[in-house]
Amino acid sequence: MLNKFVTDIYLAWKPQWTPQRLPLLPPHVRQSSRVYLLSPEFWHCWLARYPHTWLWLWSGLAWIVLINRVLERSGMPDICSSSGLPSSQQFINMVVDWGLMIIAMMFPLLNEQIRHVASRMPDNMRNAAIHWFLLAYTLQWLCTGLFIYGVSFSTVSSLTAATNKIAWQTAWGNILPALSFALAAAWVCSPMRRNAQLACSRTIPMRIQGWRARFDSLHYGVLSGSFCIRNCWPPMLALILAQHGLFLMILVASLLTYERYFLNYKSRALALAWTSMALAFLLQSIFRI
Amino acid sequence: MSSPSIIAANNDTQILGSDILNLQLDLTQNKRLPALSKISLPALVGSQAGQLLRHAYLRFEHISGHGVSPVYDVYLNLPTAAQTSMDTQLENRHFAGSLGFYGLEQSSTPSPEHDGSGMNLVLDVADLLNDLRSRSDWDMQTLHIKLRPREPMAADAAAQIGRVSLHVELA
Repeated sequence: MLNKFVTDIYLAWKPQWTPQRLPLLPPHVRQSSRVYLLSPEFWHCWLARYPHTWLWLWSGLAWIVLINRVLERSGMPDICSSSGLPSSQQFINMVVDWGLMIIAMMFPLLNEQIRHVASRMPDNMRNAAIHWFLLAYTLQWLCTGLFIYGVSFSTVSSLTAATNKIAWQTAWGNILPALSFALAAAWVCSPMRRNAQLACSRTIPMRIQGWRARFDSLHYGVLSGSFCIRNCWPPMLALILAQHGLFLMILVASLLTYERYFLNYKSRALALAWTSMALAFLLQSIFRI
Repeated sequence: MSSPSIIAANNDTQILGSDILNLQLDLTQNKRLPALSKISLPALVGSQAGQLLRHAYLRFEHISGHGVSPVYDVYLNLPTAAQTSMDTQLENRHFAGSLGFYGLEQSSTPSPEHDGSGMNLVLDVADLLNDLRSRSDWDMQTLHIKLRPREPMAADAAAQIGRVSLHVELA
Protein backbone atom coordinates (compact mmCIF):
# COMPACT_ATOMS: atom_id res chain seq x y z
CA MET A 1 0.00 0.00 0.00
CA LEU A 2 2.72 2.42 1.11
CA ASN A 3 4.83 1.18 -1.76
CA LYS A 4 2.12 2.03 -4.29
CA PHE A 5 1.46 5.38 -2.63
CA VAL A 6 5.11 6.45 -2.83
CA THR A 7 5.35 5.27 -6.43
CA ASP A 8 2.20 7.16 -7.39
CA ILE A 9 3.55 10.37 -5.87
CA TYR A 10 6.82 9.92 -7.70
CA LEU A 11 5.08 9.22 -10.99
CA ALA A 12 2.87 12.25 -10.52
CA TRP A 13 6.07 14.25 -10.16
CA LYS A 14 7.72 12.60 -13.17
CA PRO A 15 4.86 11.30 -15.31
CA GLN A 16 7.15 10.33 -18.16
CA TRP A 17 8.64 7.64 -15.90
CA THR A 18 5.91 5.06 -15.92
CA PRO A 19 6.96 1.90 -14.10
CA GLN A 20 7.48 0.20 -17.44
CA ARG A 21 9.71 3.01 -18.66
CA LEU A 22 11.95 3.47 -15.64
CA PRO A 23 15.20 3.73 -17.55
CA LEU A 24 17.48 2.02 -15.07
CA LEU A 25 15.54 -1.21 -14.80
CA PRO A 26 16.46 -4.24 -16.89
CA PRO A 27 13.81 -5.34 -19.40
CA HIS A 28 12.55 -8.33 -17.40
CA VAL A 29 11.81 -6.12 -14.39
CA ARG A 30 10.44 -3.28 -16.50
CA GLN A 31 7.84 -5.58 -18.02
CA SER A 32 6.55 -6.49 -14.59
CA SER A 33 3.54 -4.49 -13.46
CA ARG A 34 4.62 -4.83 -9.82
CA VAL A 35 7.47 -2.35 -10.06
CA TYR A 36 7.15 0.10 -7.23
CA LEU A 37 9.71 2.41 -5.80
CA LEU A 38 9.92 0.58 -2.49
CA SER A 39 10.22 -2.84 -4.07
CA PRO A 40 13.46 -4.79 -3.58
CA GLU A 41 13.82 -5.16 -7.37
CA PHE A 42 13.79 -1.41 -7.81
CA TRP A 43 16.45 -0.85 -5.13
CA HIS A 44 18.56 -3.71 -6.37
CA CYS A 45 18.64 -2.09 -9.82
CA TRP A 46 19.07 1.38 -8.35
CA LEU A 47 22.08 0.36 -6.26
CA ALA A 48 23.56 -1.53 -9.18
CA ARG A 49 23.36 1.57 -11.32
CA TYR A 50 24.06 4.17 -8.64
CA PRO A 51 26.28 2.38 -6.09
CA HIS A 52 27.39 5.73 -4.65
CA THR A 53 23.90 6.04 -3.12
CA TRP A 54 25.46 4.14 -0.20
CA LEU A 55 27.94 6.97 0.32
CA TRP A 56 25.30 9.68 0.57
CA LEU A 57 23.12 7.47 2.74
CA TRP A 58 25.88 6.74 5.27
CA SER A 59 27.13 10.31 5.13
CA GLY A 60 23.64 11.70 5.76
CA LEU A 61 23.10 9.34 8.68
CA ALA A 62 26.49 10.27 10.15
CA TRP A 63 25.65 13.99 9.90
CA ILE A 64 22.35 13.42 11.69
CA VAL A 65 24.02 11.46 14.51
CA LEU A 66 26.86 13.99 14.75
CA ILE A 67 24.53 16.96 14.98
CA ASN A 68 22.46 15.12 17.55
CA ARG A 69 25.53 14.33 19.66
CA VAL A 70 26.79 17.89 19.38
CA LEU A 71 23.44 19.30 20.43
CA GLU A 72 23.30 16.89 23.36
CA ARG A 73 26.74 17.85 24.59
CA SER A 74 26.69 21.40 23.21
CA GLY A 75 30.07 20.98 21.55
CA MET A 76 32.51 18.42 20.27
CA PRO A 77 34.94 16.94 22.81
CA ASP A 78 38.18 18.83 22.55
CA ILE A 79 41.42 17.30 23.57
CA CYS A 80 43.03 20.69 23.88
CA SER A 81 40.88 21.62 26.82
CA SER A 82 41.28 18.41 28.76
CA SER A 83 43.77 18.22 31.50
CA GLY A 84 45.45 14.91 32.15
CA LEU A 85 44.65 11.66 30.36
CA PRO A 86 41.09 11.32 29.01
CA SER A 87 38.84 8.84 30.78
CA SER A 88 37.76 5.69 28.95
CA GLN A 89 34.34 7.26 28.27
CA GLN A 90 35.98 10.39 26.85
CA PHE A 91 38.24 8.22 24.73
CA ILE A 92 35.30 6.21 23.35
CA ASN A 93 33.42 9.43 22.63
CA MET A 94 36.46 10.79 20.86
CA VAL A 95 36.80 7.67 18.68
CA VAL A 96 33.07 7.65 17.86
CA ASP A 97 33.08 11.35 16.98
CA TRP A 98 36.14 11.01 14.80
CA GLY A 99 34.63 7.99 13.01
CA LEU A 100 31.35 9.83 12.45
CA MET A 101 33.24 12.84 11.18
CA ILE A 102 35.14 10.69 8.65
CA ILE A 103 31.94 9.03 7.44
CA ALA A 104 30.09 12.34 7.22
CA MET A 105 32.83 14.37 5.56
CA MET A 106 34.84 11.90 3.53
CA PHE A 107 32.34 9.37 2.17
CA PRO A 108 30.85 11.82 -0.39
CA LEU A 109 34.34 12.12 -1.87
CA LEU A 110 34.57 8.40 -2.66
CA ASN A 111 32.36 8.36 -5.73
CA GLU A 112 35.08 7.19 -8.10
CA GLN A 113 36.41 4.48 -5.80
CA ILE A 114 32.95 3.06 -5.11
CA ARG A 115 32.21 2.92 -8.82
CA HIS A 116 35.44 0.98 -9.29
CA VAL A 117 34.54 -1.55 -6.57
CA ALA A 118 30.95 -1.89 -7.79
CA SER A 119 31.84 -2.35 -11.44
CA ARG A 120 34.48 -4.99 -10.67
CA MET A 121 32.30 -7.22 -8.51
CA PRO A 122 29.45 -9.59 -9.43
CA ASP A 123 25.93 -8.44 -8.59
CA ASN A 124 25.59 -10.67 -5.56
CA MET A 125 28.86 -9.46 -4.00
CA ARG A 126 28.66 -5.80 -4.91
CA ASN A 127 27.12 -4.35 -1.77
CA ALA A 128 29.26 -6.48 0.55
CA ALA A 129 32.44 -5.45 -1.31
CA ILE A 130 31.45 -1.79 -1.08
CA HIS A 131 31.01 -2.10 2.68
CA TRP A 132 34.29 -3.98 3.18
CA PHE A 133 35.94 -1.16 1.26
CA LEU A 134 34.25 1.53 3.35
CA LEU A 135 35.14 -0.27 6.59
CA ALA A 136 38.83 -0.45 5.70
CA TYR A 137 38.81 3.16 4.51
CA THR A 138 37.24 4.36 7.76
CA LEU A 139 39.62 2.29 9.89
CA GLN A 140 42.59 3.75 8.04
CA TRP A 141 41.41 7.30 8.79
CA LEU A 142 40.50 6.31 12.35
CA CYS A 143 43.98 4.99 13.10
CA THR A 144 45.61 8.07 11.58
CA GLY A 145 43.26 10.34 13.50
CA LEU A 146 44.00 8.60 16.79
CA PHE A 147 47.71 8.96 16.11
CA ILE A 148 47.28 12.70 15.44
CA TYR A 149 45.11 13.00 18.54
CA GLY A 150 47.82 11.27 20.55
CA VAL A 151 50.56 13.55 19.24
CA SER A 152 48.41 16.69 19.70
CA PHE A 153 47.38 15.60 23.16
CA SER A 154 50.93 15.02 24.38
CA THR A 155 52.19 18.24 22.74
CA VAL A 156 49.38 20.37 24.10
CA SER A 157 49.60 18.75 27.55
CA SER A 158 53.30 19.45 27.81
CA LEU A 159 52.86 23.02 26.57
CA THR A 160 49.97 23.78 28.90
CA ALA A 161 51.86 22.20 31.79
CA ALA A 162 54.72 24.59 31.17
CA THR A 163 52.58 27.69 30.69
CA ASN A 164 49.27 28.99 31.88
CA LYS A 165 46.60 26.94 30.09
CA ILE A 166 44.13 29.77 29.53
CA ALA A 167 46.86 32.14 28.39
CA TRP A 168 48.14 29.46 26.02
CA GLN A 169 44.71 28.86 24.54
CA THR A 170 44.10 32.59 24.13
CA ALA A 171 47.40 33.04 22.40
CA TRP A 172 47.43 29.95 20.18
CA GLY A 173 43.77 28.83 20.04
CA ASN A 174 43.14 30.67 16.77
CA ILE A 175 46.67 31.02 15.49
CA LEU A 176 47.20 27.30 14.96
CA PRO A 177 44.02 26.80 12.86
CA ALA A 178 44.93 29.95 10.91
CA LEU A 179 48.37 28.53 10.21
CA SER A 180 46.86 25.18 9.26
CA PHE A 181 44.39 26.72 6.83
CA ALA A 182 47.23 28.81 5.35
CA LEU A 183 49.17 25.55 4.97
CA ALA A 184 46.11 23.97 3.31
CA ALA A 185 45.97 26.89 0.85
CA ALA A 186 49.66 26.49 0.04
CA TRP A 187 49.11 22.72 -0.33
CA VAL A 188 46.36 23.28 -2.92
CA CYS A 189 48.78 25.33 -5.03
CA SER A 190 51.68 22.93 -4.70
CA PRO A 191 52.52 20.41 -7.46
CA MET A 192 52.58 17.67 -4.81
CA ARG A 193 48.83 18.13 -4.36
CA ARG A 194 48.23 17.21 -7.99
CA ASN A 195 50.12 13.94 -7.48
CA ALA A 196 48.16 13.30 -4.29
CA GLN A 197 44.89 14.00 -6.12
CA LEU A 198 45.77 11.59 -8.89
CA ALA A 199 46.80 8.97 -6.35
CA CYS A 200 43.21 9.12 -5.06
CA SER A 201 42.10 7.84 -8.48
CA ARG A 202 44.51 4.92 -8.37
CA THR A 203 42.83 1.54 -8.57
CA ILE A 204 43.87 -2.07 -8.07
CA PRO A 205 42.83 -5.29 -9.80
CA MET A 206 40.10 -6.95 -7.76
CA ARG A 207 39.44 -10.66 -7.56
CA ILE A 208 35.92 -11.94 -7.25
CA GLN A 209 36.24 -15.22 -5.38
CA GLY A 210 35.49 -15.68 -1.66
CA TRP A 211 38.12 -14.40 0.74
CA ARG A 212 40.16 -12.94 -2.10
CA ALA A 213 37.30 -10.60 -2.96
CA ARG A 214 37.02 -9.48 0.68
CA PHE A 215 40.79 -9.12 0.98
CA ASP A 216 40.99 -7.00 -2.18
CA SER A 217 38.11 -4.80 -1.05
CA LEU A 218 39.82 -4.26 2.31
CA HIS A 219 43.19 -3.72 0.64
CA TYR A 220 41.73 -1.15 -1.74
CA GLY A 221 39.99 0.56 1.18
CA VAL A 222 43.24 0.89 3.11
CA LEU A 223 45.06 2.14 0.00
CA SER A 224 42.35 4.67 -0.80
CA GLY A 225 42.35 5.79 2.82
CA SER A 226 46.07 6.42 2.77
CA PHE A 227 45.87 8.25 -0.58
CA CYS A 228 42.96 10.31 0.74
CA ILE A 229 44.87 11.20 3.90
CA ARG A 230 47.78 12.31 1.74
CA ASN A 231 45.43 14.54 -0.25
CA CYS A 232 43.21 15.98 2.48
CA TRP A 233 45.44 16.11 5.57
CA PRO A 234 45.88 19.91 5.80
CA PRO A 235 42.18 20.86 6.12
CA MET A 236 41.57 17.91 8.45
CA LEU A 237 44.53 18.97 10.62
CA ALA A 238 43.10 22.48 10.69
CA LEU A 239 39.77 21.04 11.84
CA ILE A 240 41.45 19.13 14.66
CA LEU A 241 43.32 22.25 15.76
CA ALA A 242 40.14 24.33 15.49
CA GLN A 243 38.52 21.81 17.86
CA HIS A 244 35.92 20.53 15.40
CA GLY A 245 33.33 23.28 15.40
CA LEU A 246 30.23 21.85 13.77
CA PHE A 247 29.74 24.84 11.49
CA LEU A 248 33.38 24.66 10.46
CA MET A 249 33.03 20.94 9.72
CA ILE A 250 30.02 21.53 7.49
CA LEU A 251 31.85 24.35 5.72
CA VAL A 252 35.02 22.30 5.11
CA ALA A 253 33.01 19.25 4.01
CA SER A 254 30.98 21.36 1.58
CA LEU A 255 34.11 22.93 0.12
CA LEU A 256 35.86 19.57 -0.30
CA THR A 257 32.78 18.04 -1.92
CA TYR A 258 32.29 21.05 -4.18
CA GLU A 259 35.89 20.84 -5.28
CA ARG A 260 35.66 17.10 -5.97
CA TYR A 261 32.54 17.35 -8.12
CA PHE A 262 32.59 20.76 -9.73
CA LEU A 263 36.11 22.18 -9.93
CA ASN A 264 38.78 21.54 -12.48
CA TYR A 265 42.08 20.33 -11.02
CA LYS A 266 43.71 23.56 -12.19
CA SER A 267 41.27 25.65 -10.18
CA ARG A 268 42.66 27.57 -7.23
CA ALA A 269 39.24 28.37 -5.77
CA LEU A 270 39.83 26.01 -2.85
CA ALA A 271 43.11 27.76 -2.04
CA LEU A 272 41.17 31.03 -1.94
CA ALA A 273 38.63 29.50 0.43
CA TRP A 274 41.30 28.15 2.79
CA THR A 275 43.09 31.52 2.71
CA SER A 276 39.85 33.29 3.64
CA MET A 277 39.38 30.91 6.55
CA ALA A 278 42.97 31.42 7.68
CA LEU A 279 42.40 35.18 7.61
CA ALA A 280 39.17 34.79 9.55
CA PHE A 281 40.96 32.86 12.30
CA LEU A 282 43.80 35.37 12.29
CA LEU A 283 41.43 38.32 12.65
CA GLN A 284 39.59 36.47 15.39
CA SER A 285 42.89 36.00 17.17
CA ILE A 286 43.99 39.63 16.75
CA PHE A 287 40.73 41.24 17.75
CA ARG A 288 39.81 38.53 20.32
CA ILE A 289 36.36 38.13 18.77
CA MET B 1 19.40 -0.13 -19.50
CA SER B 2 21.01 -2.67 -17.23
CA SER B 3 24.73 -3.09 -17.41
CA PRO B 4 26.57 -6.31 -18.17
CA SER B 5 27.48 -8.25 -15.05
CA ILE B 6 30.75 -9.95 -14.40
CA ILE B 7 30.84 -13.71 -14.89
CA ALA B 8 34.46 -14.61 -14.31
CA ALA B 9 37.84 -13.09 -13.55
CA ASN B 10 41.29 -14.47 -13.09
CA ASN B 11 43.15 -14.29 -9.78
CA ASP B 12 46.74 -13.58 -10.67
CA THR B 13 48.71 -10.99 -12.56
CA GLN B 14 49.77 -12.31 -15.94
CA ILE B 15 53.20 -11.49 -17.31
CA LEU B 16 53.34 -10.98 -21.06
CA GLY B 17 56.38 -12.10 -23.01
CA SER B 18 57.44 -13.39 -26.37
CA ASP B 19 55.62 -16.69 -25.87
CA ILE B 20 51.93 -17.41 -26.17
CA LEU B 21 50.10 -16.70 -22.92
CA ASN B 22 47.40 -19.19 -21.97
CA LEU B 23 44.74 -18.05 -19.54
CA GLN B 24 41.76 -19.87 -18.14
CA LEU B 25 38.67 -18.26 -16.74
CA ASP B 26 36.57 -20.44 -14.46
CA LEU B 27 33.01 -19.76 -15.61
CA THR B 28 31.51 -21.49 -12.58
CA GLN B 29 33.55 -19.79 -9.86
CA ASN B 30 30.47 -18.13 -8.42
CA LYS B 31 27.50 -20.48 -8.27
CA ARG B 32 25.07 -17.57 -8.08
CA LEU B 33 26.06 -16.18 -11.45
CA PRO B 34 24.21 -17.24 -14.61
CA ALA B 35 25.83 -20.16 -16.40
CA LEU B 36 26.90 -19.74 -20.00
CA SER B 37 25.26 -22.94 -21.05
CA LYS B 38 25.29 -24.46 -24.48
CA ILE B 39 22.75 -23.05 -26.93
CA SER B 40 21.50 -24.01 -30.33
CA LEU B 41 21.94 -21.12 -32.73
CA PRO B 42 19.49 -22.35 -35.39
CA ALA B 43 16.76 -22.22 -32.80
CA LEU B 44 17.09 -18.52 -32.17
CA VAL B 45 13.41 -18.08 -31.51
CA GLY B 46 11.66 -19.68 -28.61
CA SER B 47 13.04 -20.49 -25.20
CA GLN B 48 16.72 -20.37 -26.17
CA ALA B 49 16.60 -16.89 -27.67
CA GLY B 50 16.68 -15.46 -24.15
CA GLN B 51 19.97 -17.21 -23.48
CA LEU B 52 21.78 -15.41 -26.26
CA LEU B 53 24.31 -12.87 -25.13
CA ARG B 54 23.27 -9.36 -25.98
CA HIS B 55 26.61 -8.01 -24.83
CA ALA B 56 29.79 -9.77 -23.80
CA TYR B 57 33.01 -7.99 -23.05
CA LEU B 58 36.42 -9.38 -22.32
CA ARG B 59 38.17 -6.79 -20.20
CA PHE B 60 41.92 -6.58 -19.74
CA GLU B 61 42.48 -4.34 -16.74
CA HIS B 62 45.46 -2.72 -15.08
CA ILE B 63 47.84 -3.41 -17.93
CA SER B 64 51.15 -1.91 -16.93
CA GLY B 65 54.72 -2.03 -18.15
CA HIS B 66 57.37 -0.14 -20.02
CA GLY B 67 59.00 -0.10 -23.43
CA VAL B 68 57.29 -0.94 -26.70
CA SER B 69 55.27 -4.14 -26.37
CA PRO B 70 54.06 -6.01 -29.45
CA VAL B 71 50.43 -6.27 -30.47
CA TYR B 72 48.78 -9.41 -29.05
CA ASP B 73 46.06 -11.35 -30.85
CA VAL B 74 43.43 -12.82 -28.56
CA TYR B 75 41.74 -16.16 -29.24
CA LEU B 76 39.01 -17.89 -27.27
CA ASN B 77 38.90 -21.69 -26.92
CA LEU B 78 41.39 -22.15 -29.72
CA PRO B 79 41.86 -25.90 -30.29
CA THR B 80 45.38 -27.26 -29.93
CA ALA B 81 45.21 -28.60 -33.47
CA ALA B 82 44.82 -25.09 -34.83
CA GLN B 83 47.95 -23.92 -33.04
CA THR B 84 50.14 -26.67 -34.46
CA SER B 85 48.72 -26.76 -37.95
CA MET B 86 48.51 -22.97 -38.24
CA ASP B 87 45.05 -23.33 -39.79
CA THR B 88 44.21 -19.70 -40.48
CA GLN B 89 40.57 -20.35 -41.18
CA LEU B 90 40.10 -22.19 -37.91
CA GLU B 91 42.03 -19.48 -36.06
CA ASN B 92 39.81 -16.80 -37.51
CA ARG B 93 36.75 -18.56 -36.09
CA HIS B 94 38.24 -18.18 -32.59
CA PHE B 95 39.75 -14.74 -33.03
CA ALA B 96 38.41 -12.23 -30.48
CA GLY B 97 40.49 -9.16 -31.29
CA SER B 98 43.87 -7.57 -30.83
CA LEU B 99 45.45 -5.72 -27.96
CA GLY B 100 47.72 -2.80 -28.80
CA PHE B 101 49.46 -1.29 -25.83
CA TYR B 102 49.97 2.22 -27.14
CA GLY B 103 50.66 4.61 -24.29
CA LEU B 104 51.43 1.76 -21.91
CA GLU B 105 54.40 3.40 -20.25
CA GLN B 106 52.62 6.73 -19.75
CA SER B 107 49.57 5.12 -18.18
CA SER B 108 51.74 2.91 -15.92
CA THR B 109 53.79 5.77 -14.51
CA PRO B 110 52.27 8.14 -11.94
CA SER B 111 52.56 11.66 -13.30
CA PRO B 112 50.53 14.89 -13.31
CA GLU B 113 48.49 13.39 -16.19
CA HIS B 114 48.02 9.76 -15.10
CA ASP B 115 47.41 8.00 -11.81
CA GLY B 116 49.66 5.11 -12.84
CA SER B 117 47.05 2.36 -12.52
CA GLY B 118 47.78 1.16 -16.04
CA MET B 119 45.53 0.89 -19.04
CA ASN B 120 42.27 -0.98 -19.56
CA LEU B 121 41.29 -2.56 -22.86
CA VAL B 122 37.97 -4.14 -23.78
CA LEU B 123 37.05 -6.56 -26.56
CA ASP B 124 33.46 -7.13 -27.63
CA VAL B 125 33.14 -10.92 -27.81
CA ALA B 126 29.35 -11.36 -27.86
CA ASP B 127 29.14 -12.79 -31.39
CA LEU B 128 32.13 -15.04 -30.87
CA LEU B 129 30.81 -16.39 -27.56
CA ASN B 130 27.35 -17.01 -29.01
CA ASP B 131 29.03 -18.87 -31.86
CA LEU B 132 31.25 -20.89 -29.51
CA ARG B 133 28.29 -21.78 -27.31
CA SER B 134 26.47 -23.21 -30.29
CA ARG B 135 29.27 -25.70 -31.00
CA SER B 136 29.37 -29.26 -29.72
CA ASP B 137 32.72 -28.77 -27.94
CA TRP B 138 31.60 -25.77 -25.84
CA ASP B 139 33.03 -26.09 -22.34
CA MET B 140 30.72 -24.31 -19.93
CA GLN B 141 33.19 -24.75 -17.07
CA THR B 142 36.23 -22.95 -18.45
CA LEU B 143 36.97 -20.29 -21.02
CA HIS B 144 40.43 -20.69 -22.55
CA ILE B 145 42.03 -17.43 -23.62
CA LYS B 146 45.16 -17.33 -25.70
CA LEU B 147 47.25 -14.20 -26.19
CA ARG B 148 49.72 -14.51 -29.04
CA PRO B 149 52.29 -11.77 -29.72
CA ARG B 150 52.66 -10.79 -33.36
CA GLU B 151 56.38 -10.35 -32.81
CA PRO B 152 58.79 -11.09 -29.94
CA MET B 153 58.80 -8.75 -26.96
CA ALA B 154 61.74 -6.32 -27.09
CA ALA B 155 64.51 -6.96 -24.57
CA ASP B 156 63.97 -3.62 -22.86
CA ALA B 157 60.17 -3.95 -22.72
CA ALA B 158 57.86 -5.59 -20.19
CA ALA B 159 54.12 -5.77 -19.74
CA GLN B 160 51.69 -7.41 -17.38
CA ILE B 161 47.93 -7.69 -17.07
CA GLY B 162 46.42 -7.20 -13.62
CA ARG B 163 43.07 -8.82 -14.30
CA VAL B 164 41.17 -10.42 -17.15
CA SER B 165 37.42 -10.58 -16.70
CA LEU B 166 34.34 -11.52 -18.68
CA HIS B 167 31.22 -9.37 -18.46
CA VAL B 168 27.98 -10.48 -20.08
CA GLU B 169 24.39 -9.40 -20.45
CA LEU B 170 21.77 -11.86 -21.61
CA ALA B 171 19.43 -10.82 -24.39
